[in-house]
Amino acid sequence: MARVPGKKGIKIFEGFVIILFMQSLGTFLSNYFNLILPGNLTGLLLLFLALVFRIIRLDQVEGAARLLLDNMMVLFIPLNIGLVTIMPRIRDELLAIIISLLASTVIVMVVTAKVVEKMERRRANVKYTS
Amino acid sequence: MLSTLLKEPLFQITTTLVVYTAVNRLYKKFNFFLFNPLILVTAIMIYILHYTGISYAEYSKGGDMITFLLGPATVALGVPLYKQIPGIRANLKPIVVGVLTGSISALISTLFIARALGAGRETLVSIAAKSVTMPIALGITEILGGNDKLIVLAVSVTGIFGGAVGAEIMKLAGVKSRIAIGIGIGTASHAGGTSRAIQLGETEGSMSGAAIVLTGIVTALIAPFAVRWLV
Repeated sequence: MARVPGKKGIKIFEGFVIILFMQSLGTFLSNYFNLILPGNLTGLLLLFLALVFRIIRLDQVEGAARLLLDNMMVLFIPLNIGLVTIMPRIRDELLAIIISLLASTVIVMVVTAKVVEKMERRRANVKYTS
Repeated sequence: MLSTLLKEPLFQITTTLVVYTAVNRLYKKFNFFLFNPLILVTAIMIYILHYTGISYAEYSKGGDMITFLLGPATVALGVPLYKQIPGIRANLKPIVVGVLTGSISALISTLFIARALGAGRETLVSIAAKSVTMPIALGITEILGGNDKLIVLAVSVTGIFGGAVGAEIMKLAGVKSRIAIGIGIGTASHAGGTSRAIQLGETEGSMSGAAIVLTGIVTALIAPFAVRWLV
């Protein structure tokens, strides 16, 4: 009975160990086989596959994953602060950077949505005629 | 006094986390874009470091410990991907086609426009992955040989912009399908856009969310080739 309050913490800890293990395995595989995928991304796929093939259960990693993902924004702050160190180098290109980011975001949104919508409409038509 | 303390990783980490927590609460309460932690926390921390005369290299002792957790956070994205399986399966074709279209058009348009405007090689490879969710974008940028701080800026700008105007752009473009709107916003502007897509409706939100991790994986696979052709 006395152990019950501590269980949630243990579960989150063990979930974190699983995640760290997958990251290490993924990084090893990416480096060893010279994969095009970054090690962390290989780790993501390994965790995903381990869940799909029921090697690990969702509840074993859910708490730890939520802890990391729900607070992810704080993890970018140090790199964001580091922007001041590269500002002198990118100052001349800053306008080009911002314009290309904003323009590309609009292009991607519209092109992607239009393609998907067109495909859906075709799919609906096929269903209707058949 | 303050500058001596802030040379220690403990105080660097604590200060960062306390400022973040306070700002995050403010942002949740007022939902005003300038209170976005990526903007306001960064500004406050830069001011504190400047005021106390701590260099970024010194701050990095603690900062790097926070950044380290981005690795596990990337791997953790496997959990939402797993949970999205039913939603992805139900709309498999539009999601696959949308994610492929979005990933390819994002790489081409970003690299093409930035290069036409005179951006150099280092800048191009540092912003190529701008439509990808932050932790995956960092991994891709590392492989491309880009700058980690610049991709953080690029991903933040894209996310904040997509969240701010995504719905309006879809309206202007005359897109009616909820599935198309969700996938378009998610592939273009990851979690930043998705936070807005969720407000549009359940379909938009779940489609946008399903596109995030898939866009990251697809972009990781094609970015090296896109860079070889376009940079």
